[in-house]
Amino acid sequence: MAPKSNAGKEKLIGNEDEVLQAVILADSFNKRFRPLTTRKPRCLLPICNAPLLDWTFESLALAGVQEIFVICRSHPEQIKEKIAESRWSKPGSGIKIVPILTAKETFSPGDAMRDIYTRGLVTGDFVLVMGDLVSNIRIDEVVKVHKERRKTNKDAIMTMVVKESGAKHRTRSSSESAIFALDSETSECLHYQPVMGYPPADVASVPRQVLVDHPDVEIRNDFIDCSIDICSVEVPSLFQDNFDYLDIRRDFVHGVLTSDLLMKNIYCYVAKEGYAARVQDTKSYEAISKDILSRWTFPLVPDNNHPAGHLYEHRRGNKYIDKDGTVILARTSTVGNKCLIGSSTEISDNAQIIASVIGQNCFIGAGAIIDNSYIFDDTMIGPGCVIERSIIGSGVDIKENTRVDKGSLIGDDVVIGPNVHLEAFGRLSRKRDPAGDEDGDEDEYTDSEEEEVEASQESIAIDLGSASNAIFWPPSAPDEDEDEDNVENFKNQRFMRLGDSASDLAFSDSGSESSDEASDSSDEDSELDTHLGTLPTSSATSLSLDAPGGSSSDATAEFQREVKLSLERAFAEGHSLDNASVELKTLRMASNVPLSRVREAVVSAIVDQIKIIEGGGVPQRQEIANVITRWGPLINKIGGIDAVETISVLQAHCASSERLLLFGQILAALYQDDIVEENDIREWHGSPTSQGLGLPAGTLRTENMKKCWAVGSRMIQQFDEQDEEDDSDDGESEDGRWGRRGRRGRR
Amino acid sequence: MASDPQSAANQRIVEDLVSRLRRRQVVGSRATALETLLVLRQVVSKARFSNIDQLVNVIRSVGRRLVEAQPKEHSVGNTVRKVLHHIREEYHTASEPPAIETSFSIAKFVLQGQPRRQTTIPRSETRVPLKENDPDDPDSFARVLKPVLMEAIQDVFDELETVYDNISKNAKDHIHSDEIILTLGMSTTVQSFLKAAAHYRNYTVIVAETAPSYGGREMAKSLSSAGISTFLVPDSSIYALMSRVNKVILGAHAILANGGMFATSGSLLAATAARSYSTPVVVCAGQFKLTPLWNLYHEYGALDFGDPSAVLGFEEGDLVDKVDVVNPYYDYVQPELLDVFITNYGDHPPSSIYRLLKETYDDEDNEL
Amino acid sequence: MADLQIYESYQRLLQNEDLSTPLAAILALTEMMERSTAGTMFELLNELKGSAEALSRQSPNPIGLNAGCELFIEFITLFPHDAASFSELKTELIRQGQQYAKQALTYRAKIAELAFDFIKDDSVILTHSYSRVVLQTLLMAHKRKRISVFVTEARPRGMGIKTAEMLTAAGIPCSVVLDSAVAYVIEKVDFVLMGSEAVVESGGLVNAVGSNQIAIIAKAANKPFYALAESYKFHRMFPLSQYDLPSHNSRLLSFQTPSGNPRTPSGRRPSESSLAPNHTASIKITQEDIARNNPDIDYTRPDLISLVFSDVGSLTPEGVSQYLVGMFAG
Repeated sequence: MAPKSNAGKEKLIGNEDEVLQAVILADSFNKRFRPLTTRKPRCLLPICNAPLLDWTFESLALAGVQEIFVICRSHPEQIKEKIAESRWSKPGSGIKIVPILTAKETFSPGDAMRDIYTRGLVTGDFVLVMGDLVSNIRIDEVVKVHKERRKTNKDAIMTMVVKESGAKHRTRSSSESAIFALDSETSECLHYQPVMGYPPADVASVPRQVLVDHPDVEIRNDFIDCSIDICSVEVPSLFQDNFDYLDIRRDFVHGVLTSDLLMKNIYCYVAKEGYAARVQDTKSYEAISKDILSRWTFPLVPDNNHPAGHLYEHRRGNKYIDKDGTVILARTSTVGNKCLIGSSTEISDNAQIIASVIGQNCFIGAGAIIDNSYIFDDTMIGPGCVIERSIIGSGVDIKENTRVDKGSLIGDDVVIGPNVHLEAFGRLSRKRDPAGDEDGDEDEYTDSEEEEVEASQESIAIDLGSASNAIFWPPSAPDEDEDEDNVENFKNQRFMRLGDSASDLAFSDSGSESSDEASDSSDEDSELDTHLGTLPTSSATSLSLDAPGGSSSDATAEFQREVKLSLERAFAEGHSLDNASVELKTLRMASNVPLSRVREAVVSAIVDQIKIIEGGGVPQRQEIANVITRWGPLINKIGGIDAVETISVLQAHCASSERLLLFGQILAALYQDDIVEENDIREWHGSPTSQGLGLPAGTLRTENMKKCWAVGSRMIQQFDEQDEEDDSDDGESEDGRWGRRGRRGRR
Repeated sequence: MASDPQSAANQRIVEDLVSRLRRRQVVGSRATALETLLVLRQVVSKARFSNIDQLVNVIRSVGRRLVEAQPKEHSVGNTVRKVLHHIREEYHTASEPPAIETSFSIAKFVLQGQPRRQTTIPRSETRVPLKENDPDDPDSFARVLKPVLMEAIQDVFDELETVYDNISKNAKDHIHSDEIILTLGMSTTVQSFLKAAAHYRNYTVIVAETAPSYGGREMAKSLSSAGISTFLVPDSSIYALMSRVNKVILGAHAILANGGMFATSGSLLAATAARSYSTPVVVCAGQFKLTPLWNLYHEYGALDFGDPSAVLGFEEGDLVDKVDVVNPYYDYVQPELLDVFITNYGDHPPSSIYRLLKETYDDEDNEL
Repeated sequence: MADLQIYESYQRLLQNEDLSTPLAAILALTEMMERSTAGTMFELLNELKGSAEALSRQSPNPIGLNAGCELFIEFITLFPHDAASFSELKTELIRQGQQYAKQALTYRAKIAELAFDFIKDDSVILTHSYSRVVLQTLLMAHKRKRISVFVTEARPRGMGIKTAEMLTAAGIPCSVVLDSAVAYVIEKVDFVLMGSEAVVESGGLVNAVGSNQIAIIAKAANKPFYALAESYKFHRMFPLSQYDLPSHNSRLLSFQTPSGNPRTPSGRRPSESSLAPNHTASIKITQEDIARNNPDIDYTRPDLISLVFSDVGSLTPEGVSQYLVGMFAG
């Protein structure tokens, strides 16, 4: 039976009287397809003989989107032209497509989002996708769910569409995936942790708070992130407010989820039916091509609804041959299963085509073998060539008896051969015209990388054949000082490469697989962390108790300074608590620091505010009480209440400042003002870090920490004794003792 | 013509249906037939023409566009052919009897048989003369003809609306008390047929669940809720149960010119099993499923393959890479395996389908 | 005299490779009409019928030409008489006949196109003997699709070899199959493509001998059996068995008493005598004897035929009768 129709859909959208808008980020913001993308934007690369952008349009049209903004950065004129001549701009397509040219300086999706905000493009909830999406998911249903949720929860700003797959799915990127922690009931996304192929992640840490607040949590490592986001109109403005958000997932989602200032929620939509995936690298290019040919994307398959409007005949074994009868298959040629052959292509005698996609107007010479490769339009493959697991651009001329090994990428209009051997993962592009007849406009887009490659040609001794016009792109080597945390690091890139199994890097395979099962089934809240590898690690929920300045980077130091200044101003000018806390929040958002850092900063600022009164005693205590009563509550207004942490922070601060002696009194004052409770003190006292464990033994700081802990011990003792003694007396004597020691310490 | 706002509007509704057909948002023979008819009605009502050929060309071009968009939904083309047939008929009755054909040739003789004697019906009422290609008033032809045409289209419409009732009205003659009927898939036609028979007869239905769409489950639920004693069985037991079955009743996706049909996958299995027990196979189908085409791929199905996800979950990551899944929607069932078609135009054996086709459509429209 | 003349012109016309027997017959009849001195329609018709009979009598295999004559005569009978004079009418009828013959030459291309859709890429086709329309269809399919062909030898005339030679010359992989090896090869075949002498009212097929057994084998192996027939080969005839064909005579495949053996009529059984070694040398059965003793054509029942492709469309075997009824049953 054919899928059920959804006739009511059009009406529904009409009733709501709201146009469903979509934004396509038609730029990859990376260089994984180079050199195929030197003269063409990635979204115009064909997959199964239709440009990626058309697949994306069709995916959106399938979902009933009526207005699409295409944000283009590189080669915008090509995209514009393509849109203008496509069937989408003809009357009756029912879709309005507006290309938006964004500035050259847009280097990340975040920048694009800010651009969307400044232009004020979107007016309501919109669908945000990348320009390389292939999907048949009913996005309109997700939008419906999203809108329904928005009615009750204004803070649900975004719904991410994810597709269930196995952890080891060919379509699931191993280089750029993520672990999602979801509330099983509401599928609210509680935690997002990106996972890369290299460095492999051993551990997924889930904040404790997540487990406290939600009785049922699913931790999933088997989602394909489709990058289909249903965003509310606030989303671009959040990007605007946080100018350091670059990536939508790593920065924005992660930022929103970890921030308790924004108080926004992000939800996931786990698509059970349908297909969605992104062509984000050459490896997924292959996987998605195969998925399309295996009809997972139905009804978006070559013989039914080909996005470029070609008509293919579907033959047994998932072979697709253009229907117009212009394909010439020589008698002795063989076309294997899962192949797609475009119109006017000729396959000569004894040529073998195995699980490959061949564009229009191609010529495959006699005896050539095309194995698992992707060949764009107008390309000639000479007789006797062997092409293996590679992507060959359009207009390429590979002369006879050339061998192209797996993973190679050959850019448009390259001529190579005859009789050469291109080693695995070779990358070629055409030499730029020395005459410079490319107009200045285009020059703008030729980038430094290409120039560099060209300049380095002399040093590369590789024979590309007598007739070649190609330049060889040297294999990118692992950079010494490369930041491994970057997704684009060399080793991680290997996971994205077509034909690269990266087996030497994926050492923890078995471990990850088995633990995936565990994480799938784990919805008990007792599960605190998920080991992805076999290496034992400390509890991921343990809190960061580093002393301020201990390991903080420059940014944190900067932040500390800012907070201090801000609070000093507040203290001096006597701001209200609310104003001060707003100011803090703004600062925090600006520098994107975790809450604990803010706490540290606030506590230290308050402690430093307390004047040290020589001789101590009652005046000192009075001073402490004044400050704490006035500013103490601020500690709990920075966005989260965690009294234990407050004490720890206080301890750490006191231990490394001259106010060590005041620790006991400040703690007492906090206790008096109900900022900390007896239980908190006990808990703090019980934790290993409060005793200075883990810190290098013997240093002054460790000693001080221990002293503070001793003070705490005494307080607890007092609680235990249900003190009938005079509190103040005890305190005074203590004070005196501590005071003396403190002075000694300073000398 | 293209700048004409009316034809632009026409184009828009045509394109709209085209994309919905391509995206499989309208599926099922009856739904597509209805949608096609709505578009054609719109097109005819907006079209400008001053002779019959222009009108026919307009409809054909729309029809071609729709059929190309989804060649696997045969009822689209059938509806277009049917409308064309009705339009020509209306035109012939409305226009003056054509001058006696002088161009008689052997080829024509072979094609059309013996020249018919003109039976001119004496017209009592004085009609507005139907003038083609009137240079003074090019719209006059359209103005006169349009109301009749709209009526003709309305007739097709009414026929579609009542198709289930008309097929079911003789249900009690086909199903007898205490019979055991086997069916499969979810066909609205078969469902209404069985339910209609249930008013008069007490019988048992065995429904095969029809994996992977499991339309049979839906069918079983619907039948048993109508008070029919129903068994739901797995597809694999069809053969084993066949010895006890009195009749196999199937639905069709399209009835082909040779009397074969495209029907839900599994139909061929049931029909073949029925053949080996000489159990009669009855097909219930509306006349709009009559298709003047052949199965070009005699040995295999309708070449309409769905996605593999119904068979193999996409989450089976490792298998997806290694296993090719074939999930055809339809089987081709040869005419030899079928006994009778029950349509809203009476009951026909497969061998007389070609004659029914001749009556329903004009030969020249077989290829749109 | 006139009878001889018409047969001569018929034979002459058949020299033209493109003309099939029904068309040659129609043209021969037009030539006869040109010579005719008949003054009335009735006389003309009588003459035509006589000539047709004479043709049929002299031809060893009259089925094809019968179909042509039958069509032409029926057409003339029904032609609307509104010409001013009889001679004018006669000229018009002659023109019609010649025009049809010319037009009918395009039918093969039309049929080839219809059948083309049914020929899948990479298919293996079995055909029998020699047929111009099959040849044209295969050559056309070869241009765009990869096909391979098995051709039966079609004894005794061996016309299959001619087909094989022509296909090979055109670059189509082709292999000649013994008539007796059809059942052996059928498993590899995708479908059978068959030319025809005539298609009769039942929808059955009259064609070179061997067609019937190929159809039976194809049916048993569940392979489609397609017949190709131009509409002028539709013949108003309803044979129920092989022996109803006009080409049948009692000589064909009859059991003859061996004349060389005088002892046969006596009490000895003939089998014994033929087994005797001293007699084998004396009795010689030549290929010519076999050929003479065997039929040229046979009849294939409609239920063995999947489809008939003709210039009026692809028809089910039953569909053919509709056209015949249209022409001949008023």
